[in-house]
Amino acid sequence: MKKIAFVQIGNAILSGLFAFAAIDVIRHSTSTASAAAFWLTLRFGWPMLVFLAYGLVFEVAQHLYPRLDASFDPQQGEQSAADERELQIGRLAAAKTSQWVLGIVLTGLMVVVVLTVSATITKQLLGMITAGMLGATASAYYLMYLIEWWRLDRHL
Amino acid sequence: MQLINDVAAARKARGWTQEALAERVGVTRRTIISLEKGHYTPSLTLGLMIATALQVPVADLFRLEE
Repeated sequence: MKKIAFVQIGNAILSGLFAFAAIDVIRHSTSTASAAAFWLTLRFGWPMLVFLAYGLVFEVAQHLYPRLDASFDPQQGEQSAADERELQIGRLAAAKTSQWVLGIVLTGLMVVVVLTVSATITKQLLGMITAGMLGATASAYYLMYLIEWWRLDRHL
Repeated sequence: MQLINDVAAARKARGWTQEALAERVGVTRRTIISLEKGHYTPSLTLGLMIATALQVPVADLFRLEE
């Protein structure tokens, strides 16, 4: 259970930081187009640095974690299993979580459609909202998987 | 039909802890706990491994009941 909590909370934070970094890039970047040329300027601020630094630290931590728990495999991640029971729990948790996330994605799609046709929202704001929603969905997936894994570990 | 097991009784007859049995068959203690409570149905392979470790015929360890 601890290994699942470690990797899923770590991934949820990573997704959140990535979304925040993406929003920051969208907010500060520009593009221009003419008949002769197209310019795209991407500006990366401190949120992107924080995301990259955390990503590096988390990656290293995952490779060191097997020293604490040999059943954790960095390649398997949340599907790491110490035995057949944990393997079954992981598969059931993934199946259940994917159903919930599909619902969230479809709901988000409807929100994006409404915002896109809205006359009051700018392209930039739409991009920021979409990036935030996608990042939040990814974080929700990791945390939902953790909760489902914990629930199945208690009952299976 | 429900699978019933006597793993706990057979384990205690040998004076083993759940941890000791788990170690011998290569699973976690949590799995042995769950199995003994009837919450987890082991695979055929694990069932045979447990029976072999406890030196009890598998049919004496696991049975089906209405």
